[in-house]
Amino acid sequence: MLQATNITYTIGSKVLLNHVSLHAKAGELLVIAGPNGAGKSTLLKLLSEKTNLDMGCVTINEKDIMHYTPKELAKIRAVLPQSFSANLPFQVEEVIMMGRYPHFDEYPNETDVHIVKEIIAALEIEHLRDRVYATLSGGEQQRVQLGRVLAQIRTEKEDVSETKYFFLDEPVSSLDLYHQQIVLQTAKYLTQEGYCVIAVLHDLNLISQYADNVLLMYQGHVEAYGSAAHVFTKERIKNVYGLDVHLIEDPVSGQLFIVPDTTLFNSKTNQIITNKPYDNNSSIPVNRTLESI
Amino acid sequence: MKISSKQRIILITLILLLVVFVFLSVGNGALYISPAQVFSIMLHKTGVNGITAFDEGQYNVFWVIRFPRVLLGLLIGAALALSGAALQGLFRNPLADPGLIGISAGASLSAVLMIVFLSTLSTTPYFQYVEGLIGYYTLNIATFIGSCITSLIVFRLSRSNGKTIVTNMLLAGIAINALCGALTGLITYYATDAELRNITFWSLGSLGGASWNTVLTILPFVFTPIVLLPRLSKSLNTLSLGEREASYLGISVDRLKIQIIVLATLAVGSAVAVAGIIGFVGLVVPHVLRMMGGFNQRYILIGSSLAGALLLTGSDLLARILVAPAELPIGIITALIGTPVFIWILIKHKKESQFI
Repeated sequence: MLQATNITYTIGSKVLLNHVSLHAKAGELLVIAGPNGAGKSTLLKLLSEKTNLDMGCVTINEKDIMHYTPKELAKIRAVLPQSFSANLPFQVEEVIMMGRYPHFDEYPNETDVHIVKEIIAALEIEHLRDRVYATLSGGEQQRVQLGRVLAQIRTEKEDVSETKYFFLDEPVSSLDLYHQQIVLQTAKYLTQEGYCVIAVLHDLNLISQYADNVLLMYQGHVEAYGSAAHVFTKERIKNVYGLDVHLIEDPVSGQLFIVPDTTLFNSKTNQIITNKPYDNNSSIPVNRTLESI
Repeated sequence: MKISSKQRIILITLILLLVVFVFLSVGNGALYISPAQVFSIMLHKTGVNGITAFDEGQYNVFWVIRFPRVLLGLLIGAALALSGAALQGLFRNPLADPGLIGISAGASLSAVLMIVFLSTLSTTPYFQYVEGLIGYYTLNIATFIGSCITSLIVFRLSRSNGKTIVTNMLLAGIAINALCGALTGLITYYATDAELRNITFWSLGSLGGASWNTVLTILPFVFTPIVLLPRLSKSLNTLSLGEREASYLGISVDRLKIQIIVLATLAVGSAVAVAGIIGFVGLVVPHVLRMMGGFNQRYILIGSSLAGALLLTGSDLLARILVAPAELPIGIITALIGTPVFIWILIKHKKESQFI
């Protein structure tokens, strides 16, 4: 189990996180949601790496995160970053093998080779195996990076003694509809295998489709914590995102859909444009500047 | 990451070429010694006699002058190229070079200081005592200390909140280089004509000061990085993913930075101390290897030691035979050979080089 108790984190005089507590257990997909600047990525960083907190603590498998060595930590948790290097001069197979680096000293053993082979097959990237990473498209690179972080925490024999954690920072932000589902299906599959997945997601509908629990952040504190149906109420979304929404239940799956109220939204955008908040000092209207871009 | 078969072939070729060039280099110069004679002279030292005849002069030239000089060239070439490769990997910047973090600038400044003020200093009793202890090596030791001090300053300036920031380090390096350059210029302004000539030759580099003493003195400083740096290749490969990703994979990025900078300073500082500034080797050799065989740091680091040693041995051979019995400064040769080779490979591998 991963547990954060009352964590408070400040940089300078700015309080980024204020008394945040959460817990995530094996087999759970926990989503951290909230508007831009709410502290989601900061929280994910504090849960996944050793940081000096102002208050509170993070424990992973009942042990304080500060007591782990970097290598021990690397073996029980992997992090898929929001953005990553685009011009690695290595072959795809070599990049994925990098995920196994914490597990061997000089050269990979059979287990490492086998795991990499398995992951390449599972992600359907066999045809890319010998390509140089830098020559791949953005979506292909993202899948290879996913493969690399999967390789990091994958074990051959199901090891139940120690829960492993998978952190995803906006993993679907630049993916098409199909690949969004692929990534989140992979995350869901991992939870069924006994992993614990903690992800930052923006799309409220994807969240209600996949999340076991949602932690809604707002201005550095926890606004609501629980199941998607419990967290996403009309009033709360209005309060946090400043947006009116309709909640619809899908008659087939029973899933909750959150649809922004477009009529109100349009009048609001118009208001933003006439107020010109991005372009205070210039006489050129914003919509013309946008066109010229 | 395993060394690929192509990379293995390159490394083996480098080793073979190195052996050939060592034999050529010890044999050629003002006095010719044939490879067979070289072999016999070496056997003679171990007590086996009479394979090929050689005379006393050849024996002495070989043991006292040529052999230590070739060994010195091997060590210095390996030190410069290896440090360049490691720093390029650390900064993830193809222009990183031992000069960039202030090593060469500090060495130049202290060398120029010693050359110009040595005569003045020699009259003070304390200095006479020190010089009595270290004698002939005063200049070498001063340059070594100078290079360590500047790279330490650059390193300190790049630290913030207990972390080393690579951008700060490059900027600090540029600042310290400029400052040392200005001070060096100022001192040069006061130098006499004879001192100016000394300064010029020092800054072009030479293996002329080679002796068993110099070889044995720098051996530990160069040998330690040659053994230890390739052991960091896995971490350096990981670092290409980005500092944060490397730390997620269990690499202590900050410790890695300190290890590489200390080892590179040791190697380059000691090389510059005995041979002056030999440019180009640290910058070009790793690039040539990358363009030929790929980016695996294990291959790059091992290959750089070999290719750097090869380049310097070859250059020193040319430096000695081109204008024999005089000799050219070796820095001129490395640049003259290195540049065309580099440009040729650049043109040939334009496509691959875009990923550097």
